[in-house]
Amino acid sequence: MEELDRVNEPRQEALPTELTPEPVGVDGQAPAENKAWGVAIAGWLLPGLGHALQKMWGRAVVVFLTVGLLVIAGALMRGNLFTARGSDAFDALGYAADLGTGSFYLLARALERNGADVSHAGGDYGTRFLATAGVLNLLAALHAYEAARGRKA
Amino acid sequence: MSSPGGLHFTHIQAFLFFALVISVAFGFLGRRQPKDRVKYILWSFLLFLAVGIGIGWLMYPFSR
Repeated sequence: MEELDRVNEPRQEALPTELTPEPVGVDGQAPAENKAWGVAIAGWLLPGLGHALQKMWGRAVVVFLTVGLLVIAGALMRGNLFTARGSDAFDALGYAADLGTGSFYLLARALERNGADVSHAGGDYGTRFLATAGVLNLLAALHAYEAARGRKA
Repeated sequence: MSSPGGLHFTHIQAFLFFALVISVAFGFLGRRQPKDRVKYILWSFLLFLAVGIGIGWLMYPFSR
């Protein structure tokens, strides 16, 4: 009877602890994952740095130049550079996109000494250039993150 | 479309600049081999032009 009960017991699934444990860092995360996050943050702070740290020189230069060109053009066209003092959701989204340029956000602020002027189409296009630069840099940082994790990139 | 003391682009210049910069970035991020990159950049640039000009023509009847 005891044997029958044992047969009717639900089989226990293999626990993850039985698997070969991955090497862990001091804070319990895999070192590769930590490195990937570091690369992503570096790439966000300075466009292209995430790829440069992985010796992807071509991509690093192109990301630096394209994001930089868009930021400089957007600022010189007097596009709207959003700040944290926005009044609605669109301002918040614009701020998030602009912050995507990392340190280049400060460059754009320095270039826009006379403030934004969206009364002309040029200023409106400049706003789009600045936002696109931020989103492009976030995409590049994500790409660098995936490459650091060993995904084919 | 002028902004005093700044950079001046016509509509078509801004459009071409945007399309070229984004196409180059996509080409380098999306492809590894130089030949593939060139093909991707050209193809992306042409698609930007086609879609941009196409949307422009679609809006034309409502512009007046």
